Amino acid sequence: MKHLREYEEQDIKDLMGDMKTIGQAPMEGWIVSISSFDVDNPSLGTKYYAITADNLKEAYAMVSEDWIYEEEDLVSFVEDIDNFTELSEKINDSTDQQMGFVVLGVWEGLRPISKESESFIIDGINPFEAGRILSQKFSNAQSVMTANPRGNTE
Amino acid sequence: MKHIKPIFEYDDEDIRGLMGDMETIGQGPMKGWLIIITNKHGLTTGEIIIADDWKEAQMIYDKNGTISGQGVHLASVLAAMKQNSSLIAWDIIDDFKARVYTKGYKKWDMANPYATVEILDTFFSNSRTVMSNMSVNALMMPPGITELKKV
Repeated sequence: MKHLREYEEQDIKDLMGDMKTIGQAPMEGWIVSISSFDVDNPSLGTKYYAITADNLKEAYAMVSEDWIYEEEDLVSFVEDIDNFTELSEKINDSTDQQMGFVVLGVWEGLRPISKESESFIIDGINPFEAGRILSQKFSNAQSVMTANPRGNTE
Repeated sequence: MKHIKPIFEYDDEDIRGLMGDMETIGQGPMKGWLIIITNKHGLTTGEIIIADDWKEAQMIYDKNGTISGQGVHLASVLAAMKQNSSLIAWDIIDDFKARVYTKGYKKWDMANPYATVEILDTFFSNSRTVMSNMSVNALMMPPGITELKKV
């Protein structure tokens, strides 16, 4: 047992790996900027998904839950999905393109504040409010989004 | 030099008074406008204009903005474009007070809220009040993002 300051980056990575092997992996976080559409109710501005989950598939399932109203097995719905853009296309198809969303940017590597899985949609029309809420959800939201202003495409 | 003191002799109240006097004779800070447009592909762009008045702002926009060459009836043009589905939604937000003393225009992609906050805070002294009363602390953005195209 060493003092915390004596741990090197590699020690911490190894420790995280050990935690994963015993099923105690930390939650993961994603921010997905989207433009939602509803042919009957157009809206202005970008929205943000702030997702905390155990893994990507769970993240996809939580996003799908907002759009798939029929009794559908969310696990099988996201089974063949490889990224958020694919997910949006599948959701849009399932509504006959009447409502859904377009992915504008994806940020990963967020450190969630929450210890439990959760998904929020944050309205981005007021950037001050959106930034404040994202920073409440993830301790490193600002630095991650600053380092990669447009996010990844998928 | 009967009425003018060395600068260090002015206290904050003197300077605020002087600024107020300047505003009363039409020499206050320039005004700002934010135009938000969500295009038919869902991409939302922000465009700011700094000018003396709305008419001049529209003339600057007409030369530099996304929708140029339409004259000084921007709101009508945007409304017509929404009507014919060329864009999904739009808004024009006024009442901004410019921090800079140069007229200008800037456009950016609003997909990142921290970038948008940085830009608004750089050019306007009251952007937080206009957009909301919320605040974001200690922003860090790459150099270049706050460059204004001078016109």
